[in-house]
Amino acid sequence: MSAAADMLRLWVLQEEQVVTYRRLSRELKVHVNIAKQAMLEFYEANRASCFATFLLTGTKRSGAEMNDGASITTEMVVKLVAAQELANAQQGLDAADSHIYSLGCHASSDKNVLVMANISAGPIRDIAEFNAVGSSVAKLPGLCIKHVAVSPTAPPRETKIATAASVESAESGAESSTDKPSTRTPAKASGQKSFFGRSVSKSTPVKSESGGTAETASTPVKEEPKSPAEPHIDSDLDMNDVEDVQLNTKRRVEDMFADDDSLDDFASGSESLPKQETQGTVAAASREASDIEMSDKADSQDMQLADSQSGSSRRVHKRRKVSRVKHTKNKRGMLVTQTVEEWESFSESEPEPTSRVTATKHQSAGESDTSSSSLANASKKSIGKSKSAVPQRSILSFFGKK
Amino acid sequence: MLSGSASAALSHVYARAEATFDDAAKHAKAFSTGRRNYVRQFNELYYARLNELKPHVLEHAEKRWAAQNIKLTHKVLNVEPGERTYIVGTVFIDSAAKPSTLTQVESEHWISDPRVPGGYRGDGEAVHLEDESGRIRLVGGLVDRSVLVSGLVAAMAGMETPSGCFEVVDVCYAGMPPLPPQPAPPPDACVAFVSGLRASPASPVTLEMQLLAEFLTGAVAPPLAAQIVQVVVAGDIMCLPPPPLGHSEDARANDRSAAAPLVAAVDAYLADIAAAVPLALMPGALDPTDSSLPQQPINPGLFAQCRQYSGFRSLSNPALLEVAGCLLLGSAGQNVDDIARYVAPEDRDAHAPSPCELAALSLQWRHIAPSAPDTLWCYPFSDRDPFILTHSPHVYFFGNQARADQATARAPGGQQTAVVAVPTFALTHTIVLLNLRTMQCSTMQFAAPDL
Repeated sequence: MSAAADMLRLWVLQEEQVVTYRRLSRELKVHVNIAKQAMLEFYEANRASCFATFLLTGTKRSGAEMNDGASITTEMVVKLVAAQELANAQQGLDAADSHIYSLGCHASSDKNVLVMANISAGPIRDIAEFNAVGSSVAKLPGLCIKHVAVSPTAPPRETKIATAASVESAESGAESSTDKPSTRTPAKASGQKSFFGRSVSKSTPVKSESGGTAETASTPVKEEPKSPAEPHIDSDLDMNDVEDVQLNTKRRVEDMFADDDSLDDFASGSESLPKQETQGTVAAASREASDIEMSDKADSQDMQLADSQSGSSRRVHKRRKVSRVKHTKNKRGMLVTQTVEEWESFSESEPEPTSRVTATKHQSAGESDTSSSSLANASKKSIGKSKSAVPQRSILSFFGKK
Repeated sequence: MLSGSASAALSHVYARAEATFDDAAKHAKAFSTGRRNYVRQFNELYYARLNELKPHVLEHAEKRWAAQNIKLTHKVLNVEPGERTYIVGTVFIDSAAKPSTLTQVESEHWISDPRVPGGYRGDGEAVHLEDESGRIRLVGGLVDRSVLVSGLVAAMAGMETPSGCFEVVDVCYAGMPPLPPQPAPPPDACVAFVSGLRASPASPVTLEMQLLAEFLTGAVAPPLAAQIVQVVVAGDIMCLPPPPLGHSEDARANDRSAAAPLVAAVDAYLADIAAAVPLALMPGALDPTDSSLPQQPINPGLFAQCRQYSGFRSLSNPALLEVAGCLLLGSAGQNVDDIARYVAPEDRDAHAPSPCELAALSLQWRHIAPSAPDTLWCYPFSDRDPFILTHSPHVYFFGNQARADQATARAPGGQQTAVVAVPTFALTHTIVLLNLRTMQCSTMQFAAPDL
């Protein structure tokens, strides 16, 4: 255990880190019990200069009250105690057992220190082969989100696999494209896109040799996050791809609402209307329809601005006046629908939108400051965007800001 | 330096106990809403419930009261004054303490975050029994003492009073359904029930959660951990911050950017457990899924790492699953908590029935969520009521409780169901271990006091 002692001396005494047995087991690639034994020996040899935490397990001495013989009578405890408190803590438990949990250079009452030490030790499944209890589950071979093959020559995307997992899959004999080093090399961007609309990565293509048909013909998208708290960030997307994704998203959003004729009746009028106070019961359908249209217009504006900023194609941008429906709260806290006119930029290369004559049904509130309502029949012509299969983004994008 | 024998002893790996499990699809449709349609009212659900439970109630009522010469009146409106009879219908409790959607809309203009009162019963309440013909008001001391829940199908024996009310002297329920045959369970196989992890964006993984994962994977107390054949997380896995009340188009209200790293952290944490032992997740009130019962399984796409392991399952709430031949029925606790709100105010402190007792009572009612949809949000089923029990489970567990508890529901036929209350882990740091052979529970508490 000299290697363990050297390692602990470096981490604990020199670098003043808090080290758990899991980290030692992972670094030394030994059974967790051997790592615990090594830490205990180091602690006993360096009691004066380091501080130990022990994990105590046992059964509480005072059982639960008997209630018709059906109540819970056995209460076990797993407790972290400091080394100097271990003896006292053991006295209150039956069948007490303990082992060393962590070592540090000084005592710390902050639990987060141990939390971070455990996080730095890595996932438990990475050292599954060194655990004291075997696993009763198997890792599913080549489990990935199924996606459509863009091209037979599209190489798979590089993925990171945990050490224990790769060992397990190797033992099970499962063939997986992600386990083969030869298929890990990223491919050069060739304008091809994965199921999620992301381009294939930038380096030279590599002929896929793995046996999994669905995996080799497509690009596995997800990589394991680098830490439990960090979301995965795909670094292979370049600016052009981002814009392509945004443009496709814009088309998909517009297509979603392009054929909905019921929205025509509730589009806002072209002239701005004075503020009106409603009874708080603006027609739900009209509000929803105008809200959808408003979000549609907002998306359209965002996409156009992104296009103009990309610089990928030179377009002449102009500005036009459009009507938008906004929802605000008046001084009474009632929801008020208001049509305002705003200027938006658009690309000359895009077809002119048909006049969106929107109508909003307003109910006369009977208040002194309300004006007469008007209802205009509206027709909305579809913009004529061709429906194209837009790649679906990651499901976690659902949580993004709207 | 360790000797070879010492090293071998330390390197001993315990084999985890083996058990059989049901096919994931076997009970998947029990609480599935399928293709949803909200353009319907809840009367169809009540009608289906009454039609399905009435024969069982009549059967038990006949056995109970036939010897006392108490006859059945088929419709509640046909009750004759002064005649001892029994009637069957659905209980409805009209109380000012119950939440009212119309009142909330009028006062707050928003009902996405309804305020749940502490209790539904109080002064000025009226208890009715309703069937296809109409309803009749129930009076009497037994009505005040019994735990009656809106939506409960029961038979009431008594007599009509001169005022037109029905004075109740006895109550009869549908009774527990039969238990399925249980094969011999493996020796010392345990199921670990966890509930209320409540991982939050501020602290996605706590020290107690890490100790829990180390125990379940076998790094701590390996002989005991090796007996665990299934881990069930009964609701409230995550605790997303509630959206501020406001317009649905408010960007601040819809900002869920804090949830993505939380979901990833929870996925990574649960994957450690899923890699070692079969793991089943059930959603709770705080999880990102439906808010109305039955909550559909959390989208497995949120658990990309857990899905890599064969034993991982995302279940509904409530859910049915089989472990080692034992039929387990579980919920995240919303149904039992709502039943507890129907306990009379004067009984809450002195003789309040425990959640386990209420859950056992619901098995006697043959319905685990009778207050749905009156006070418990529920999907408007039209052709069936999924909360009606067709078979009694061997184990009925419910999560997010204040403390761990166990009770036994006994049927006249001798069948027994173990009722288990699982405490909220975020508050108690305690899990429940159920021995499938002895049907006895033990608790395991993870403590990390000031070090």
